[in-house]
This record gives sequence, C-alpha cells and structure tokens, in this order.
Amino acid sequence: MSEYDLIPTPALITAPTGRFGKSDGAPEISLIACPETVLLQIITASGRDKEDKAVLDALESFGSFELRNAGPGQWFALSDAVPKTLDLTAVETALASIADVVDQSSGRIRIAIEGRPVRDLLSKGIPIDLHTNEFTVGETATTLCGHLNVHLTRTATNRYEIIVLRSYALTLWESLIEMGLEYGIDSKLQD
Amino acid sequence: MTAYRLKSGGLIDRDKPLSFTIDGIPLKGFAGDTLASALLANDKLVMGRSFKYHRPRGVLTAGAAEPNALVTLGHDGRTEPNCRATMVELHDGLDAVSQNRWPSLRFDIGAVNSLLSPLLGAGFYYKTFMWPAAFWEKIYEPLIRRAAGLGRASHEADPDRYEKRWAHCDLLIVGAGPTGLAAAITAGRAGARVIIADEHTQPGGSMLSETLEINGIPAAAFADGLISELRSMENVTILPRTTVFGWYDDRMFGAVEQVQKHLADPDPNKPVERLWRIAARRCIVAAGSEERPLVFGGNDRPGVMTASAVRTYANRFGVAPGKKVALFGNNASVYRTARDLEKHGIDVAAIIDSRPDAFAYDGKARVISGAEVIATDGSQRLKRLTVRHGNTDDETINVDALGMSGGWSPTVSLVCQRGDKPVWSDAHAAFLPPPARDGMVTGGSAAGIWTLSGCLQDGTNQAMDAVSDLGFKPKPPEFGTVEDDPAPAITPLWYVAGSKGKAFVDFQNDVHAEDLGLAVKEGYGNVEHTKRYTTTGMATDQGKLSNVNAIGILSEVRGASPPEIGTTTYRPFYTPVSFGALAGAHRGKHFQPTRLSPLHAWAHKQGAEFVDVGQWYRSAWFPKAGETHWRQSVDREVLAVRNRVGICDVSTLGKIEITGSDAAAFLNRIYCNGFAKLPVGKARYGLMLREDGFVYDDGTTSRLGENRFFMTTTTALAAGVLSHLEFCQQVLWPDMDVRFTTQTDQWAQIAIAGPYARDVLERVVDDGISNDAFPFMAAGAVTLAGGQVHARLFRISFSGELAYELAVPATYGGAVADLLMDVGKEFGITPYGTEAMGVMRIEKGHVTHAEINGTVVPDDLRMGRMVSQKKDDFIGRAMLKRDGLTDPNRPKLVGLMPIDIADTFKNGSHILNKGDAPSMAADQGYVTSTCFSPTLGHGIGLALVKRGTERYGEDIIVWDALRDTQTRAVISAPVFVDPANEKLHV
Repeated sequence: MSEYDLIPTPALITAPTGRFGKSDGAPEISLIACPETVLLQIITASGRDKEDKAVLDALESFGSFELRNAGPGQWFALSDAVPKTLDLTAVETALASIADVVDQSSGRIRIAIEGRPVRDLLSKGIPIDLHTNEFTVGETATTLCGHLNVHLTRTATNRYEIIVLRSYALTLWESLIEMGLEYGIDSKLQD
Repeated sequence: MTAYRLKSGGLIDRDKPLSFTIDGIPLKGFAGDTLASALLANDKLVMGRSFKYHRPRGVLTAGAAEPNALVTLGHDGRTEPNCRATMVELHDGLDAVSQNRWPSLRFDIGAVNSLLSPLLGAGFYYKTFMWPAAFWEKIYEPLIRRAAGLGRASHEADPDRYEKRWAHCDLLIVGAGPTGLAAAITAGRAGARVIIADEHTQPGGSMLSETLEINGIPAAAFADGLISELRSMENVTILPRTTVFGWYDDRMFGAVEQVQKHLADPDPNKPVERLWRIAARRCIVAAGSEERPLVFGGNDRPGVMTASAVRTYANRFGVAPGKKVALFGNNASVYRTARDLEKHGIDVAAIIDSRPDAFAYDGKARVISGAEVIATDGSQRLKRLTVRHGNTDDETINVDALGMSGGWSPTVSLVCQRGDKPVWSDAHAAFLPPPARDGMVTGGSAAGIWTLSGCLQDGTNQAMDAVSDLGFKPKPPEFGTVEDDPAPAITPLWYVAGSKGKAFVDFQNDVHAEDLGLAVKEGYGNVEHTKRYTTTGMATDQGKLSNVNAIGILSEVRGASPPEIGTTTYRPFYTPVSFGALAGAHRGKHFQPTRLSPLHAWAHKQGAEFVDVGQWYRSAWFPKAGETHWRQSVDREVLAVRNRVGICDVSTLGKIEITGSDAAAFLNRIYCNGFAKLPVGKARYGLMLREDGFVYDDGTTSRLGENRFFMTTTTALAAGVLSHLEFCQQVLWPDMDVRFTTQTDQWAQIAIAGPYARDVLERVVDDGISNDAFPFMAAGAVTLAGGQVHARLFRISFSGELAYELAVPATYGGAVADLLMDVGKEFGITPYGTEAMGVMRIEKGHVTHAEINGTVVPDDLRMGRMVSQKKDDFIGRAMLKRDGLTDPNRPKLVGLMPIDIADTFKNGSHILNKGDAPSMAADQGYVTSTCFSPTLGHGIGLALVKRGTERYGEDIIVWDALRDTQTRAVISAPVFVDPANEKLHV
C-alpha cells in the first residue's frame, strides 16, 4: 500500500454556494451539485441505435444503472450505487457485441436544478421547448445552455439535471445562479 | 396656454399624480401618461430639434413611429438617447433631457442651419466636402459628425442587467389591438399555446383611443375584459411593452421586452430589458397601421400632428392638443377626430378636406371641401393656417393645433423582412402585406381592414384557421354589436402644390419635398437611391411615416405609379434595440464561458500566472519570490526541466477516444502517415492534412487496444478535429465501423519531463517503467499509489527531454500533481508553464500552429518523409501532388540564430538575402517563432525560408519592417537541442 491517499477533488468544490438574488420569501430555486458517481458513455455501432434494453441487460450484473439517451445509439449510463472502482474492462467485454464504453465519470458533471419557476429559468439558456407536454419527466436532450453544450434530463415535474463537461461546470453553475436571481436561488454542493 | 389637460376622461389615473422633469424643469403628470402626453398636458409643445435644420419640433404621433419627440433618459451608465417620448411610460422622478440643441430647446444656436437651408439640400455633403482629399477624415467627417446627430451615448458601463430567453408557442400574435385580442381569445379558448406581444404599455391598441362601443361597452373597457380573460388562461402569455422586431428562419421571431425601463428603481435581481427568441408554429401579425402625415408647407410646426394622435391624446390621455383645433385630411379620419374633440368640448375651427365632395359631417365644425393647407405660421408653435380653396382667395384660420391625415399605411415591416414585397392597392392608397406564407399571416388594419368590427372578425377568422390547422377545435367568440366608424374612403394627396415654406416628407431626417425632386433630377430616382441620396426613410424611425409619402411624390415626379416605384427593403430591426438587450447576460464575467483545467486549483496553489487560451485558462509560468520579470521564471523553469525535472499541466490538449472495428483503418485515412500497423501499447506522432494537402493539425495517437485508440489534438483544434472526424465518418465513409467520444474533460494530463522524470514517476506508478519495460513512444494503462487510481501513461516528449505524459481521471488531477511534487522534491521538481514549454519546443524544433499556419505542407516542415507512399488513400493525398505544393522554392522550416548573440528578433520579421535592400520584393521568408533560449544563452527562432533546407549556414538579414530594424542571423537546422534525440531514449 502507498503511504499516500489520493483524494478526489469535486469539480465544483470552489463553486459559490448559499442564497442569491431575491431576498424576500423563501428561495424558489434550488441548485444542487450532484455526487460525482459512475457515468459511462455508451455508443452502439451503426444500425443498433435502439438497443437500450440490451444495454441495460448487459449492465445489470454490475449494478443498477439508469440510461439517459444522448443521441441515436448513444447513452449516458449513470449509477449512484455502483462503486467507482468498477472494472471497466469487464464492462467493455460485457457490452462488446452491442456497444463501446467510454468512462466519463470524471469528465461529466451533473448539476440538478429544481423549483416552481425552473422551466422559466432554464428557458433563459436552453432553446428547446420545455413545456410539460413537450418535454416530459424522463425525457432527455443534448442541447445548449447559453454558449455551453449540455445534456438535459427532466427528472421530476419541477426538477432537471444538466450534464456538462467538467471544465465548464463552474461557469455553468455561475450562469444558473445569474439566471435565477429574480426568483431567489439557494445553491448547495450536496442535496 | 394652448394644449391642456381635460377636466375628465382618459385612461389615466388622476388619483396618482407623478412628478417628472424635462431639461430640469419640474412638471406633473398622471399614472397612465406617456412622457409625450404629460408634456402636452403641460403645454410643452416643443419636444426636440430637427436633425439637420434644428427646427423646433413637437410630437407628431402618439406611438412607435414618432420621429420628432426624441429625448435622452437616465444618467451616467443608464443614459439612453433617442427615446420616443410617445413610448416612454411616465414614472415618478423621470428625468428627461432634450436633444440636438444648444444651449436650450427654446433657443438653439444650431437653428442658424435653417437660414442656410437653401444651401443644405440633398447631396450637399457629397457635393461640398470633396476636396482636398486630406480633409475628409480629419476635418470634414469630425465636423459633420459634431454638427449632426441625435442623442449621444454614454461612455460609462451600464449598471443594469439584461437577459435573453427562448419561448415556444402554437400561435404568436404580434399586436394586441382588436385584431390581436380577438385572435388570442379564439386561440386561447381552444387551448392553443398563445403568446401575444404588444409594444405599448397597455394592451388594447386602437381600442384604448376610440370612443366606439362593443356590445354596449366602451371599446377600452371591452378590451380590458378580453385581457382579463386571457390573463386567466395558463396557455396564454401576454407580453406588454414588447416589440417583435424581427422575423428570422422558419418562424423564429426576435422580440424585446422592456421589463423595468418604466420603473424609477429597477429591481437589481431582474433585467431591465429581455430579448425573446420565439419559436412559433403559426404567427398572426396584427401590428395595425400608421396614419400618414400630409406634405404641405410648414407641416412640421409644433402643434401639427396626425389626426389619430389628436384623438389618442384626447380620448386616452385626457389631453387637448389645443384650444382651437383644425383638421386637414384626404379621408374620413379627420371627421372621427372632429367628432371626438367636440365630445370633449374642444373647439374644432375647421375640417379641411382635400376631396371635392363634402363628407356628411353632423357635428358643429365647419367643413371646407376641396381645399388644402398651404402654409402654417407661428414661432415655436402653430398660430395660424393658410388654406387654399379652389378658386377663391386664400383664407387664414387662427388655430393652435392641427390634426392631419394623409391616409393609412399598414405596418407590413415584419411580414416583408424575409424578402417578400408589399402589394400596392389603389383603393387603399397604401401598400398591403404580401400573401400569407409559411404559417405567417397578416390581419386587421395591417391587412387593410379599417373598421373595428372588421378587425375583430378578421382576428377571429385568422386564429380559427391557424389553430384548426394545428389540430385544435376553435369556436368563434361572440362579441355582440360593434359600433363602427366609416371607412377612410381616401383620395391620395401626396403633396400640396403651391405650398409655402418647407413641406417635410421625412421629419426625422429633415427631408422635404424639394429634396426628392432634386434626387430625381440628379439621377437618383430609383427608390433605393433616393433613400441613400436624401436620407429619407433612414435613422431610428426607418421611415414609418415618410416612406409611402416619398414613394407617392416620386411617382408623381417620375410619372410612374407607386407600385412601379416600389418600396425600399424591409429588414430587422423594426424599432431600435439596445446593445444591452442583444448582449443579454453575456457581458463582463459572463461574456464567454471560462474553461478550467482540473489542475487549475493546483496551479493556482503553486502561484501560477494564467493566460487565456481560447476559453481555457492555462498556467503560463510560476513566479518565485524575487523574480520580477516573467523571463526570469521561464528561464529557471526551462533549465530545471533540462537539468532536473519539471511537471506541466497539458490537460487542455484535445483528447478523443476512437473505437470500433475500423478504427485503425479510419485513422490510416485521416493521417498522412501510417497508423494501421501501430502496435497495441504504442503511441505515434500523426500529421493530419486537409483535403487541399495543407497540414491541418498534429498530435500523438496511441493504440490502447485492437479497436481502441486515444488521439490527442492541439488545444486550439480539439473541437475542430472532432468535427472533422465525424464529418469523415458520417459523410465520406459511412460504412466504416468507428465511433468518437471527446475525453478532453475526463483526464487530467500531466507532462513529467527531465532527466529525473522516470525517478519521480517510479515513486508513483505501480507498474515497471524502465526504459526496456516502457520505452520511448510506449503507451498503456497503469495504476498509481498502490492501485488507488487507474491511469494512462504515455512516453512522449514535447520538450525533447526524457518525458512522460500521465493521464489520470480529472477528479484525481490535483491529488496526483501534489503527489508528484511531493515525491519529486528530492529531484528538484519544478512546475513549468506554457511559456517554458514553448521555449523548449522551439529549442527542439517542434512545430505548433505558429508554423502549422494553413500554408504549409508536410515537406515544408521537414516531414515530407512521413507522408505515406504505400497507402491507397488518405485525406489530402491527391491535392498534395499539385505543382505549387511540390515546388522546390517553397519556404521550408529552418532554425535561425543571431550572429551577434546579443541580438534578438521578433516573430513575423522577414528574411532577406544579405545585401538586398529591404522590400517585400526581396522577401525570402518569415520568422514563425522566437524565444530566448536559456539552454544556449541567446535568442533563437524558427522560420519558413525559401529552399531553407539547402541554406543551412547561410548568413541572412532578419528585417522587422514594423520596428525598422535589421538583424544579421544565420540559417541552421531547426533543432537546437539534442539533434540526435539521445535524451528521448535513455
């Protein structure tokens, strides 16, 4: 064993936290840095773009994963339960006949945002139609937030998760706070 | 006193008095007033000075097309010039300043221009300020700019917030007048998602200014009822104070909302303006119409305004524009105004109707048919009119206000912004909108429907069609009995012949009727030329009131019909939009995203100075105590790497994982050198060409498995290379089984370079990394610190030293860098930045985009031998054979050393043969990179020089034309350190 402990540093460790914007009443928006857990990018070969069930089945033996579609034949496979010591070679082997796997657990950061006016807030940066009937709970989209590429998922009626490149996580976080000032926004690094 | 507040009436709240100032003069108004209505109520008729002649000008309209009443609002960074007083919502403490006058609005020295007006006709500047040419920029232009102009912008930063947002709807309705409201009610009740935008403070449009009744209720109250119902609908968004200014691709619209411009103390948490980008499945433009002025002598005197403006001020704002009012028109509008004024008890002295047949007016006012106003009189305000009757003597009528109507122009700007031309109608004496297309229709008076009932019906019909088409099942609303005014029944009157004094066509630009005649005479009769020559239709109002009159006059002068004259081109923006709104939140800190390396905090802790590299911040050098100049730090860092060991953050390099059974074959086509046979566990330097044969990017690519490669790109082209790969796969070779994922953010990548690099790494890496076990260009997976972290190690070197690049999951970047610093202490480990890295790569003759500048082929960089002669094909192969790219005279990469080692030279300097006089004709090439080499103790450089590889040892001149210096230097091979690459293999 090494005498050194290598401790991971969360991407948003220096992000501003606390309450911002409108100060009367309770803040209407919560901004939350999600834990940096296992996040795999899975891409099928051409023509196998509808095999999400097969992907899930192949992943089953490694633990419980959630698949979020990221384009034709592409998914992010997330798991808060699977340990980060996951054997990627074994995952690659399990999926070999269906898809390629690339680890993005460090490269992508998840930010959750919730509250009654959350759709209004997100429309300041995200061009897709977020109306309840158009972007339902569970739906995902690879889109933009301002100048940034993001992957958006509606996780509950008034809650969304944004996956963003790690290097842009802080700038997105600060932009979301800016967008939320009029509602009052409470930002925190843990749910 | 002439203009005054009526004792009752209007939609203002007389229980809410407001205080405001104009040019420091304190005045009172009421909630619901605009600045223009409040000024009128205070008898402040002169609201501005004209652009060119500095003539006193009063308000001409009560709406968005106002050309005259422009004021500056706010102070310091909040200064906003050219605000239309007709659109400014009055608030307590509002402080307005008049424009284009000195010393005061009442007495303006610039009005001397009016006396010089015979000399200042159209084209005056073009004809006068022609010579001497040297005066153009330094004297004439500054002089003209100072003399002319509207308000002045502030040079201070705007303290307020702005933002942009997106919106989606089934139906966008532009304008909340009778047509728009009827459409919104129809579509809203059917369940469609509706956005209805109106540029005014209060929705309702013309219904707010009329005295007609709908179902026994005054139109304004009826509008209120519709708006209340719309507000209660979850599927309807009402946007007051919002101007839809542009129609873009498909049905994308731009709109700007004045969120807090009307508030004395804006909430700092909200924007003052919001830019909307609206994606609509259907759109109804119900933008109404503008009443045209008439063109007669003295038509710009304060007190003269459009008849509908007179009506609006009286009915909506409770303001009488004068005690004795005359009306002059060629259609029924003047009679509507006369009727309303008389209801308010205002004396209407005369209705002057240019049409010969008298209209059956049942009010008190005298109707003079077949007559025209030919002149006005009065200093700073209207006092009398001269009316010319058919055959009788001219008559003088004393009045203090005149309402005029030259007919109505539908607001067609938005529907014509994508190239469609409006269609002339003789019956309406107006341009009507083009036919509907792409789900965009025009309704109501914007489509030439003039009655209230007609507009309500048209709005209903248009919405029924629009939302039925989308699958909704709308029902027509019942509005009951609707009172109507008579249709205009217009007879065109473009210009009053025999006018005395200037007859203005374009008020904002001081273009009068004679200017248009002159333009035609001088060959500028095409409507687009006339616009540029005379400036009619330019500036902030974009000719909303003047264009059709100008076309009418041109048609008379040229003997052509208005449709033959045609219109000028409609483009966004419909009305001015502030830069603040267009920038939105993207200013200051948020101007562009910032991109942080996973080692940013580590570098910061080490005291790094950072440099912007695109959106990235990269550590440039790490100053130590006592170092006062960056060169001291950089020299120290370079020597530390050359003699001991250094670590550098290279995480920003692009990283792309390439997988699939055709990955190797794919890379073989992408790079000009071979990759198909690269063994697993090896890295290779690759050169990527463009189709035209020029070098595109370079970097190392490692084979991590049979079907898995890890490509690195330059920081600058990370996104570009990924796009290039995707293009090649998707478009050129769709059958290839290959996929790409960006890994740039997954890995923190650290270069460890120097003679002790291995010693340091061995204390961190669990696997064996001896020269035999892990030789130069080896690549593979390793674990760190007893298996705590799975990493990738590459034995590659940019510095020319024994070097490795260690990639660890980004979250461990800081911890691993700390560990390397800790275990490297005993070897004198030193963090180094991009500057030292740059020095070392020049010393080693490695190229970057300073050399790969889009003009070089591999052979220019001494890499011609890398280009595969065996492969069937690769990107750039065919074009690389062009004569010009194989010309032996092409510039080739060389090294440069000053002959006197105290000398230096700069990037961009040119190479001359010794003895040649400096000139570009004698140019032999140019310097691409320079630095001071602490290893050699003098300056060095890289250059691209004609036939450079044949000229090693040649004495040349480095000519810096910008700094006017010449430096003697000698051409050398471009590798200054370890040319035999011995250090790489130890």
